[in-house]
Amino acid sequence: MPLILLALCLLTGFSVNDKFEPETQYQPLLLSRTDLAGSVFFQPARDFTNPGKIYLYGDTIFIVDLYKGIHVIDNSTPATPRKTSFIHIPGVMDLAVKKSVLYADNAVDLVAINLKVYPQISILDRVSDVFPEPTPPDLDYIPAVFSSNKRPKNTVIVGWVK
Amino acid sequence: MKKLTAILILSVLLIASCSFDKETGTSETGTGGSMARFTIINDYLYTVDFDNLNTFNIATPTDIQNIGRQKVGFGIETIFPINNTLFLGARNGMYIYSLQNPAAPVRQSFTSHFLSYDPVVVQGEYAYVTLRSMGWNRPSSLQIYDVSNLSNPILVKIHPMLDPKGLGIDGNRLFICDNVLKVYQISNNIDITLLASFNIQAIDIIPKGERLYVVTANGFYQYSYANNNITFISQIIMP
Repeated sequence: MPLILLALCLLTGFSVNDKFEPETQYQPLLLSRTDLAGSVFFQPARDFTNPGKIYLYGDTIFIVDLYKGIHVIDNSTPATPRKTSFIHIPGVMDLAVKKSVLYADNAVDLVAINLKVYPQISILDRVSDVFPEPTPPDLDYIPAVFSSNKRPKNTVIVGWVK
Repeated sequence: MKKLTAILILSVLLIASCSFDKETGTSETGTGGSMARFTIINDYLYTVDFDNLNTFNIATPTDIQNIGRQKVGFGIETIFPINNTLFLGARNGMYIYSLQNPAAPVRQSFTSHFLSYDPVVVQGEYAYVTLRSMGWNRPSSLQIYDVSNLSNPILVKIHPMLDPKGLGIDGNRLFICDNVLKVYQISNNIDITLLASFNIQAIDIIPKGERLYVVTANGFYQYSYANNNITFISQIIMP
């Protein structure tokens, strides 16, 4: 599955006016809308990088890794919980689960992931453009220099890097 | 009588959710922490983003209906569901929405406080809000509101805190992710006594079934608080 993550700073024809302090120390990570639609899948368990939201579902614990995905932890033996997989979800911040369906934000889209068929990925539905794009960790808004008309067409911000 | 009814309803809900968990690993809905911005009640998923409260009908997961977005205010950070009511934590206060019609939440009240980062959890007729100072204004604190009248919450107690983030409550136990993880005994709903503290930088916690699930900047920790003893169980942290 070709996923092209572009760091905007690498693109030509784009520069922050260096006479001013940049509003954010971060650069956006972009994904094309086409790639966003195929950006959710299971991966092997991995280390935490930026743990955030926590969610309990029976013996399973989900922990969001900000803008990257969701760690799945099998806690059926609390003395030895173990990570079983990672759900790759660019732009994710939060989740909730009902009847083995996990609802999460995939940047601006809401996705419903069927957990019953793990490790096969099954996206039951995707509702497009219902959330604002993620903002830089050091700001509450997206600086105008990164607004959609100043980026390649049909791209969505899915995270921020320094 | 009203209080008793609320306690009864709460108990029934708690018992119901516990039994779901025991039966299978695929209970109806799960449990989020106090920093959650998504919550599911029956067939509805409610989410908050910076300005808005969104409502989705998820009765058919293959055909989610986006049925409403309403502007709430600014800096909406958390959502806490209880008894057909949503409590939203915002930078400038606490919003309460009624779900009498679950498809169309209606604002019951807004209670302002100084600008801060502030999740809210609710138990019985009291809402517990941590206010994490932005540094230049008032000191951080735990504020406790009487929310027996959802249209008119009343601030009844303020306890000083240092750097609070998420919090959780279960019966007479209150857990606060302050500069360290703090465990309090609550009495009379509003008085707190520190029982224990753990030197971890917790971001958010879920107390459930006498177990405390903690997320920190470097991973996951689990404690037991059964029988008035708070003991470490396990952890998964960054290498």
